[in-house]
Amino acid sequence: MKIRLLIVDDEKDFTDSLAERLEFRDFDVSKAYSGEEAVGMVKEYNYDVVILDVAMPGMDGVQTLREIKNLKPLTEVIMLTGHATVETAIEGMKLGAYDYLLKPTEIDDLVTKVQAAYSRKAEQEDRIRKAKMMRYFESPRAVLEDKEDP
Amino acid sequence: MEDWKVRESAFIGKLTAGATHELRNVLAIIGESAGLVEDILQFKGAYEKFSSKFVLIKEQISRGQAILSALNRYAHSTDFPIQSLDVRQSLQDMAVLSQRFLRQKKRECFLTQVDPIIIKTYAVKWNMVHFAVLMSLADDIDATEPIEIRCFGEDSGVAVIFCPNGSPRSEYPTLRALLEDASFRKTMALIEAEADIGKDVAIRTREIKE
Repeated sequence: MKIRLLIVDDEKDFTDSLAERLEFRDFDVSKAYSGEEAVGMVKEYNYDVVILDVAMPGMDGVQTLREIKNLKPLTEVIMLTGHATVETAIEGMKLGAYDYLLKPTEIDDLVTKVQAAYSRKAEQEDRIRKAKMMRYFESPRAVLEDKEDP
Repeated sequence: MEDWKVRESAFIGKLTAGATHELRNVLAIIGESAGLVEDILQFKGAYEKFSSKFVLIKEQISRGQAILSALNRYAHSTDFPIQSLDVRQSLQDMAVLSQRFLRQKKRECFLTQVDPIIIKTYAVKWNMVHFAVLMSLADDIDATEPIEIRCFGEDSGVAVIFCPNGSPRSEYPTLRALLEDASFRKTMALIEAEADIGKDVAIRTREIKE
């Protein structure tokens, strides 16, 4: 299965080209041109990794990150930043972002980081799955009590 | 009241920081668009004809990015009159931003042994003093050898050593003229800096106690 990516950046030309380049590398890529649009898409769909620009008009990167983590805690977020906003990216990591990259970024660096972020998400999901299996094994009634994950 | 509305250097700094941020986005768009064309050509098997041009585009984007990043940090040194200054980063930025001026003089500089030091100082003035010393020194030395820059922490501040690897043409007349200039001396006094001229040139700055 392809890794599901969401790129969030208000620079449309940058976002479109980057999305096409990542599609060439066999990712399933969606695009959002604002934080608000990204949050709406995250509500509707499960992405594995979000690539998020820090400096956007309206809902900025940090606000968007907060919303995404609130909605889908396991979705990994990689922040894209200029040098002046590195402090913001570090603040983002405190809020649960996987990592940050300086913009413009090398595509190979980005792909490596996306794959590492996806691996972490997959490991966490696997741990949760195993914990649930143990719980079902110990108490079969738990199957009825569990809700589907959002 | 925001500082940039009333202080000239903060105003210029704000505009420069904003412009460098925008230009970084311009470079990002050029880089990704070129990268996309490169991907398409690789996919179609016609990449070889253009590969050297893509290398050139990437090199120039990296070069532009390095200049913008240095300029952006220099611009932010105007944010507050006194602030914490990352000395190593500032010297690296000085090396990048001085390249064009040094190239015109057929000189170059490089950094070695630069300790990671942060001091509280008048950041713009500190940058200006060291930039001016580098430029003046460049006028006083032979073109054949580069200027080595070293930096280390001292008890109450930092020492930046400019080491011309060639032999000086004379006793650094341009640099001495700079150090005797009244305005420059005033700036040096404000940042609590002293110059020590031997074969090498040391600028020692004490941290500002607010």
